Amino acid sequence: MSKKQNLDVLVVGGGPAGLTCATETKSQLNASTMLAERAEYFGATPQSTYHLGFGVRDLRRVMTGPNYADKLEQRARNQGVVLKANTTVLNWTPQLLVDLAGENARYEVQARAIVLATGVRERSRHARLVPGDRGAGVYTTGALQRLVYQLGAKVGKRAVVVGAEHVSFTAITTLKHGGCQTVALITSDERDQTFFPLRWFFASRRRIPVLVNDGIAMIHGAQHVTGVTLNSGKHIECDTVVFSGDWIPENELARKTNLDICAGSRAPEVDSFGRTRQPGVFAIGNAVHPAEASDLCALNAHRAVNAIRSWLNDGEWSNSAVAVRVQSPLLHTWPSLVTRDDANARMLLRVSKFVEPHSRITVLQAGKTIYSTNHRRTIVTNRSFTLPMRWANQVDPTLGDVEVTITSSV
Amino acid sequence: MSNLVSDVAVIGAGVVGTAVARELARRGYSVNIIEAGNDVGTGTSKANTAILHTGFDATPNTNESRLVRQGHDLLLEYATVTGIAIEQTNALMVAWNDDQLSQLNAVAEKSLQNGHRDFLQIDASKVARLEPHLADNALGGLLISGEYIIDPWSVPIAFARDASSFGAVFRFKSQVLSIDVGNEVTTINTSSGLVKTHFVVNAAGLAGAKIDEMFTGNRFTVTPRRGELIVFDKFARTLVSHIILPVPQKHTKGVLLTPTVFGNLMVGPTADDVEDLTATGSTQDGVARVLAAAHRIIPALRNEEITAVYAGLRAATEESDYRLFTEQQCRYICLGGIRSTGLSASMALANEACQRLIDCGLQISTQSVKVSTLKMPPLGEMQHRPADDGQACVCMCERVTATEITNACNEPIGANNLDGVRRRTRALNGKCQGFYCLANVCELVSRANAIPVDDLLSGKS
Ligand SMILES: Cc1cc2nc3c(=O)[nH]c(=O)nc-3n(C[C@H](O)[C@H](O)[C@H](O)COP(=O)(O)OP(=O)(O)OC[C@H]3O[C@@H](n4cnc5c(N)ncnc54)[C@H](O)[C@@H]3O)c2cc1C
Ligand SMILES: Cc1cc2nc3c(=O)[nH]c(=O)nc-3n(C[C@H](O)[C@H](O)[C@H](O)COP(=O)(O)OP(=O)(O)OC[C@H]3O[C@@H](n4cnc5c(N)ncnc54)[C@H](O)[C@@H]3O)c2cc1C
Repeated sequence: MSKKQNLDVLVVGGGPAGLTCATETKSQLNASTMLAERAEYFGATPQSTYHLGFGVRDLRRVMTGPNYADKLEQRARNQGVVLKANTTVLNWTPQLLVDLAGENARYEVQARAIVLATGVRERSRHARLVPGDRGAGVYTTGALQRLVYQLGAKVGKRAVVVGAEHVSFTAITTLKHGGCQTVALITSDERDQTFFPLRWFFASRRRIPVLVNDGIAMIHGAQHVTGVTLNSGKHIECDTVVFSGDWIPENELARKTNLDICAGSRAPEVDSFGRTRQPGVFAIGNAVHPAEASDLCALNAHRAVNAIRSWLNDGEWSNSAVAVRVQSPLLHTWPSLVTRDDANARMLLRVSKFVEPHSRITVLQAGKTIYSTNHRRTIVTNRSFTLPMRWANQVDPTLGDVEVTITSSV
Repeated sequence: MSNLVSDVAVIGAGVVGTAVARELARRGYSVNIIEAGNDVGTGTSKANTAILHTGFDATPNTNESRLVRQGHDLLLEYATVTGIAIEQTNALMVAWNDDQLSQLNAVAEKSLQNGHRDFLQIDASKVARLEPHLADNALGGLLISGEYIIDPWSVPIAFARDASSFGAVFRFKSQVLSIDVGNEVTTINTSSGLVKTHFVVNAAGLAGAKIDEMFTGNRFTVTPRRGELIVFDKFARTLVSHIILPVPQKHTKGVLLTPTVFGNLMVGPTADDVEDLTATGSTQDGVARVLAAAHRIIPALRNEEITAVYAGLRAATEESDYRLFTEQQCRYICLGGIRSTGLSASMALANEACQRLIDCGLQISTQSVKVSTLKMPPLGEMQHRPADDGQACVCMCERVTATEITNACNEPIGANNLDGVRRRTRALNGKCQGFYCLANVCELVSRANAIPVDDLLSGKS
């Protein structure tokens, strides 16, 4: 029984970015749209993120993660998006003939456009090469949330959280709901990377210290974690270790289908409309900017809809994009490809270390400065700062890569 | 149960102990397997490089050389019949300097002495053609045929399932504390009670010397030799098609790179002597050394993600060969010092143990040898797995379905904890290490075993 069908748009991944993009392509373009999600539910990580703060910039409401996820799913359903749960996209040909596995069948779909919205995960203890024993009690924040909120699990009594960015602080509350007290956050940077009110709300008022310029040298406990030794030599007794942040895009499909991968972020290279270098293939959400809040993922999904429209209507695919290269302390940018169309976007940039206020940010092409600005604020690690892209107007597609640099004021 | 006297008690349910138990039970003997852990294969057998060696580079005329060679063919057949994932990748020993290059002749000579003729010396350009991602300073190599990669976890599980279906009795969470050898019956005092038996096989791995001492006094010591390993994510496997071996040299021990049947690439192991029989943790220094070697040998690995880091302990003794002893008087066989080839030699060691037991006075069995119809679930990346037909996955990275996980818990010698499920299904072993699926896997294992989730998480079960 052949199940091959034709589609305008196939969206891969049912998180905030994928759901939003699918809803908008269906409603704005009236394109036949299918969304494939490998999990049994839609909404991805927000489905297990119980604190408030979702939907602010896209839906203009303040919601919990599950409410937000349900709302996005409902909108997609109402618009008539074909939502396929338990369905994994395995591969596709350059002609966009897609190989899927789901609902007890293996089948093909011929799509005109594919939108990758496969999201990110946190690097595990192993991926970060943290040595020591392999006792139970080591999690990522994502795993922790699902254990605590999906299963009501009790995880331990004393936890150390690795990382000090937004998500690291939210882990404190999740741990508390799991019956576990946080004894310290540990960051290799010189200070934490969240906002003052969040730090106060989650940590300071409970007197939870943030240990800076440090990291875990060794995890102890063969059966179950008994403690950690830090690089500084300090020993902390604990039975739980949570690794937070250190995001890596879920890029398996992108690599399988030979999309160009950005060295800094490990994400497929895209312009601000999500266009990759493969005609008809888009990538959006945290799969291309690890990792932003979900509302920003949703907003950037709206941008992609414009480009999907031109592709479906006119077969228009700009091959004039140039790549963006960065130098230390810059790690990566979104977008990582630029055309003149991107002039109305705001670039997201990340750094590997704190940069003092009044640094100079310069955009060059072929050695010539096309834009330069004074950045007045401190640039913080693990958090994007933005740069208006008006300069994209001046990018010459024949002159090769664009380079972005930061020079500190001192 | 404890009033019954078994023909043979096997101490240790690693790959060696389970192989022995299977062979004995198959031949109709009554067997008790006494294991300190809560599952089979929780010792050294769970942490190795998963290569089915030909034994081409063993020291000629040793027990190890003979048994690896025999064991290779036996396990190859067994894996094929039972459906345990196995792939012939062959091995390529690569010389990176003149010294190593000149050493290759000696290795080839050794291989001939070991009766393995299936190799070919190749030059640098051929090396580059076979393995285009290797660093470009290779000077030449030795291509060894007949080397396989195998699923190391399914092997002891399959042996145990067979043994159990032939009537062998497994006693988990039973640590041997002392042994009393009587005139006809030996009484083994374990943490879960007494076990009475006529004959005993010591397959206790790292604790082999300690058990041996209970019979005969101090004969050898085990100094654990730690091997640390790094497993790279799936894309790394596309960079290598053979097992890449270092040229053995007197003072430096290089690391090897090997594809795995689960579709990853593994690099290691280090070789560091340690004191502690339980020091199975990885170290900053060891991991750094393995990683540096990986990057040196395949520069493109710098861009690949790491899935897992772990360490295993080899049961090294004063001698490099296996420490096999037969004590007719106390009806006892020691399979000790099975250091770095025990997976490959396991089935030959089982035959060896049977023969030695008969030499000790175990009656030759008159029963016809029992036949197994065991089929292991398909776990190899090259095998056809349930998810390939579109069954919903619980573990996304390794593409494992709920049915596979539940079956792994419910089948004989089933999983009763998360690590047991990892080894039987691959669930939780992928790149996300549970970021997506830990809760779902816990829920399934908890339900199948009626164990509270909190106990699964705390490693109590
Ligand atoms: C612990 C944690 C706490 C967070 N807290 C907040 C917060 O408080 N506020 C906030 O705004 N954001 C928060 N975030 C971030 C938020 O979850 C993400 O921004 C958002 O989920 C990203 O959306 P996305 O659609 O890009 O990707 P995801 O939400 O990651 O969705 C990707 C989906 O794609 C699916 N997928 C991947 N590959 C395939 C395939 N081959 N076939 C089919 N499906 C596939 C995945 O299963 C997944 O469901 C948090 C994230 C984490 C991990
Ligand atoms: C890093 C590394 C890489 C390797 N690579 C390979 C390879 O590629 N190919 C290969 O063929 N071999 C390889 N090996 C070797 C192989 O793994 C071992 O030889 C083999 O696993 C030994 O099996 P075993 O059954 O003797 O020991 P184990 O698996 O250690 O089993 C012994 C069992 O005895 C139990 N036990 C101990 N004391 C007691 C007691 N007092 N009471 C009750 N039970 C007890 C333990 O709990 C354990 O389960 C490697 C080894 C290492 C460390």
